[in-house]
Amino acid sequence: MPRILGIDLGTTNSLIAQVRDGKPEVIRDPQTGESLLPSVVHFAEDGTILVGQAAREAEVRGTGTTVASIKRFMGIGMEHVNLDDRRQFPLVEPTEGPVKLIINGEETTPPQLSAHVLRELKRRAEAVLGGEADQVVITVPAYFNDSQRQATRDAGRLAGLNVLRLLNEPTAASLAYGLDKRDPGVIAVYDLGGGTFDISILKLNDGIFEVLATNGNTRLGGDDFDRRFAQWIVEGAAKELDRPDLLKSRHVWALARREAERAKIRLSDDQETLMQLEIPGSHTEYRVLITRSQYEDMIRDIAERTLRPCRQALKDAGIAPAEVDEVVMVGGSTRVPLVRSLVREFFQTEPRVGIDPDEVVALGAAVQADILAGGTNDMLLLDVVPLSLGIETMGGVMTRIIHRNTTIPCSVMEEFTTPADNVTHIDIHVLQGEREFARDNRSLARFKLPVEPMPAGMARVKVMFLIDANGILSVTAIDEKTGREHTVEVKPSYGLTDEQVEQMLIESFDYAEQDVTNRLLAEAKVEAESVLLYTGKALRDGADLLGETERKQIEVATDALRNTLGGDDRVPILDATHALNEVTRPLAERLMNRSIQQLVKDRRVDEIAV
Amino acid sequence: MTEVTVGEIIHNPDSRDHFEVLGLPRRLVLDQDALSRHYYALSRKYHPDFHQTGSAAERVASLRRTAAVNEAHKTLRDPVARGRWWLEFNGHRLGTNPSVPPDLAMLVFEVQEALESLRGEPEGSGRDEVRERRREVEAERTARLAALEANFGKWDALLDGGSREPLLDELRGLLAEISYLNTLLRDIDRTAETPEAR
Repeated sequence: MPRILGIDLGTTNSLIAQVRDGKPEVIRDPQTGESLLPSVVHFAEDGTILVGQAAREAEVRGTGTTVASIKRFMGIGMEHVNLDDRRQFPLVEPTEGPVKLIINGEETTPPQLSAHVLRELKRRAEAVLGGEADQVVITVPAYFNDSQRQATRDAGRLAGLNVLRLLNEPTAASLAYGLDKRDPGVIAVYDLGGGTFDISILKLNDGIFEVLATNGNTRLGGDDFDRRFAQWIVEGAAKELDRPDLLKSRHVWALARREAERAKIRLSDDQETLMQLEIPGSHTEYRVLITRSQYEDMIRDIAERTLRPCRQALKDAGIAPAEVDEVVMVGGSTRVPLVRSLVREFFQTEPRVGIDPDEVVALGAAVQADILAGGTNDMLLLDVVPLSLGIETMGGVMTRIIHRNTTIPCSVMEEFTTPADNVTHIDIHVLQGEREFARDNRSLARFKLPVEPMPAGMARVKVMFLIDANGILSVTAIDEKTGREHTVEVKPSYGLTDEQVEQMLIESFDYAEQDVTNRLLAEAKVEAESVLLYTGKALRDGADLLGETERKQIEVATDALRNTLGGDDRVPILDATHALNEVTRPLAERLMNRSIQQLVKDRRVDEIAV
Repeated sequence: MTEVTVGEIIHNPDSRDHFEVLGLPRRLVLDQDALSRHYYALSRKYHPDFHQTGSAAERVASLRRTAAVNEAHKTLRDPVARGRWWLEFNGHRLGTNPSVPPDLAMLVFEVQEALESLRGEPEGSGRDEVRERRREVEAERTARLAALEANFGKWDALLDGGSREPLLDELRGLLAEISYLNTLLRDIDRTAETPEAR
């Protein structure tokens, strides 16, 4: 039986999983035991590339270029990019064409960036399982259109993976949940990730998972909560400290987003929390207390935007909210209490949160991988195309040829003729979307059908549009005389052509890619530097909270760590980092308590200058 | 035309007849349970997920056959789609005739009036009026859907040599009216949801 693994390529975190002894399991990082790999890539000024947690840490140091949430840019054009995106990412100037970024003076594309993350997952699996791990199933948001799916497949190719199937995330989650459920029923999967939102309504019956309808928003997720929160923090800081320049600093925004994300997580458990924003280049900090209720008011309108797709999906499925037997919550952002209560209220059911919402999609992908490998044959997914497919016709109208929520694979035969005398080819523009006019829908691709010169309307070309099990379109032209078929080469509007992908693959072999040992060493050093930085700060801020003995202990541990940084062995660095963390822990707690007390006492922003 | 046996189902995956594709008896009044059962069984047989490790030819065949099974299921599952397909299968087209069916002319006029007043006065009592008209339109549609089922029953009862023309005419008429009512409902929903009308 071939080895096929399941990958969740998420906006915020990615995972890889496989079925072992009939059970799906996430493959963890052999060193840290972590299941999540942050979907973050860092390019240092010297050309070093870091992926994952190390990349996240490098981001807050403010040097080099860090890219996160790449999924937002997969398969879209520069015209779909907004101001926030430009603020956060080094995007190219033009406002047309496929999305490109400039890093260390070179142009790169979202699939290439995602490939770094995928390559890291591949390495992890190979390290743990031994042998090759190149056959995979990768999940995508159900609401991803054709371009976005192609971009994901391209990323897989660039990472040296054979992507056997693209699987919709909510459907994957339902597979993971459906393992122990054999009762027939209707389930709704509410999937709110870092950058995308999906809602799918499925009917489960005897191992068959039939998607009735799916809807969503590929530009809505936890990132939006964080951006709103970060804006509030930075604006507050700029005002309080009289530093309008902070609003323009990419470093400050990165720090604010990080704090926003952390505070959001704390507020899921606590009713209030203290926010701290470090002001780079100074020894000042902006601090403010925020309550859960204030946070919920801040993000409410964003969270409520998820309800409209829910309404539409139920309508398309012909199901009333009360007929839904189970609601499954997927995605880290569903931990936010406001989101849970909105869902509970909408569906009038207590949502199911049994499986870790961060892992459930990867586990489902592993199950699908097992189905494809022939390991499981009593479960089958019947998924749908999320958006209508059409072609541009007279008057700039989009004529639908495949309706949304049609079960895939599906195919449709269309006949075309020439609009004028003696033309040598027919131009077809393929679109995806629900709007009436072509210009309001997403352009997918264009292709030309060669014809013999004839009077207008005489030539007839039959074309078969096939959407496969991945939700990806292929086009075949049929010669009416001979009955012979030939695949039509389709030029993607926002994607890479096969030649471009091949060229990139060739170039990547020339890359001075870090070998595994060097990379782990670099990561350990970055972590050490972060801890040293924090310790220095803590010693200054908490000078009055420290006794002589404790201070000596910290200084000794600091020196010990510094001494390991010159070497090539990461084990002593890791050990010394751990030791320093331990010895500074009591001081850190005291600092935190003092800050909260001061703020609660006079409710004013505190400034600690040294 | 080759027949294939899948478990207890004998079907023809390459047929133009959706009933044959699913191995169902040609009964327009459909047994929904049998439809689901055949659909699931044939999906398990042909779906690409179970032919991943096969040859290229096998994978292409699996893809095409699954598309055919999906198409047949989608068409037969919904009575209106079933009726439209049956009309075309018997050599007739519905046509894109947008003119108002005479029986509905009065209701259509009332709906247009209600929508107009709602557009003009978004906060007025027009909303209730529109809601009431919408209920009427839905009732008309429900009645016609029932008539459609009755028409299907007549087809099933038709003996060889019986006259199909009157049944085809009735079918065409009902489908045209249902289509018109659907468009009307869509227009109502679109107008009533726009920001101006809120």
